[in-house]
Amino acid sequence: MSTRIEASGVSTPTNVSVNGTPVGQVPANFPVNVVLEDEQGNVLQGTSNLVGSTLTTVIDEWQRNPLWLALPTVTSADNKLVGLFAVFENDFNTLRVRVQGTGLNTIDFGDGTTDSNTGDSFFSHTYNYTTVISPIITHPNGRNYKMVVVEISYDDSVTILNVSQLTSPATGTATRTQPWLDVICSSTRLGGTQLRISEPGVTYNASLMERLILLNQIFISTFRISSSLKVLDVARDWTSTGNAVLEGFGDVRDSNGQPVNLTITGNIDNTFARSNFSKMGNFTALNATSSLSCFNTFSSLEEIGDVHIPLSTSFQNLFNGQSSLRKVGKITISSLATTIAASFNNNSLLEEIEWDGNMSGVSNTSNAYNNCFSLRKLLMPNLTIGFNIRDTLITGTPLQDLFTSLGTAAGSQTITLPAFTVGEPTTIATTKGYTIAYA
Amino acid sequence: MHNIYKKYEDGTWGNYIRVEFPDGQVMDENIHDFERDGFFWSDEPPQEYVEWLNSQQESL
Repeated sequence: MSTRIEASGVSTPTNVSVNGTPVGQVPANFPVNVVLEDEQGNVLQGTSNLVGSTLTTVIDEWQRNPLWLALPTVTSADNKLVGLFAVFENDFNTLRVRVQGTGLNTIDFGDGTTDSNTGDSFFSHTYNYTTVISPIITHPNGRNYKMVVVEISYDDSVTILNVSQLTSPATGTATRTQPWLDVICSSTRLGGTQLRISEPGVTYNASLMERLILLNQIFISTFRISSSLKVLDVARDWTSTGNAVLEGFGDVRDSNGQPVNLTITGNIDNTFARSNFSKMGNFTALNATSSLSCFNTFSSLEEIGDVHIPLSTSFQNLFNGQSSLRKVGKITISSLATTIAASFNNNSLLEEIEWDGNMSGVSNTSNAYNNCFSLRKLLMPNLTIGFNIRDTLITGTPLQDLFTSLGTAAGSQTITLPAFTVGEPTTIATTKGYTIAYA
Repeated sequence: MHNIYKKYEDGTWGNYIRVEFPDGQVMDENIHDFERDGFFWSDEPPQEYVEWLNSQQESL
């Protein structure tokens, strides 16, 4: 890992040390941008604090519990799941697995027990905590657990691999947390293999899992309340059929420490409700016809890449109330979209918004940029109605670029600008038929 | 001084310091003896505007 400090401006230089090692000089009391990189040049996620002349950096890097049992290697050429499964003290510890294919399926439960079957296969095994050979670990919740490494092998005919079958012997229903800690799963089936670990509409979840590696053609439909998840590798699209598919997600990165790109093929209303992402890569939802409140109530989000929701008709409340949001990539929008109302309401730290596409169908911009006190750049291609950027810092060239991006006003339309921009040219907008008001 | 007002179709109000119309006409502190497209000058806030403003503050 290396640290590169980018600073501009010169006042009184200060020698700076990073974790005790001198790294150079920066101006005293001057904001610095710290970029953390690994040896390959990948930018690492982390935080830095400059106190006096000492710069302390902390990398947001997940550390696998050193007491956890190692998992066998799985490659994208395999049809296999390996997973670290917690066996809790004083618990019923029954694992059920269903492999829906036509070929031979085998399972090693990790405690000396194996089984195999052909076709649509059901496996069930109850662990005995006292006989499982493993280190004993105390979970932060205070409960002791041992571990087994479960291996499931199948072929490329498997459509669904269900490992969310920990059931209560009392009720026969899945009523509790699935004790998977670390899972690597791969499939070569060209049409994809669905891995089921946790799903909405039921009470079980994967809240103990810290790492999930999905290789090749494995995909997940929904992944609910995975609040402990730190590492997620996604090989192909998620196929969701409902809302809130990533509800309660932890602040995940991929195996390289980078924000995760997510592609979802279903609806995305309320998708990230109660999630804790701070940084997300590109987000794509090709088939979603609405993005209502997709990122709403998701106040931890600081950065997100390009947002590609081309068929969405509503962007209402898209990022409403994202008080930590500092950076958003391009947001794809088409003439199908009718509203961006409150889409960026109360985004006080965000500096740039670039809608990308055709906004000619938008008929409602109310409160879209209220309290966007840091906004310096905004592009709204082909928009034909008025809007209010009174609370923003848009001025100079970015203001002219904004005017240029607009379409011809549909009738009497008003653009409300900050009062401090009085006197700046408005001809580009007025020529398109807009009335300019200063507030 | 924000003395230019407009009530919009959705019941909300705007309060402005200056308005520039597409044909170049300007409404500001110097030229305001006209109404256009709903924009008008008022030395004192209109009662209906005050009531709307109070209702907005109460809803916060």
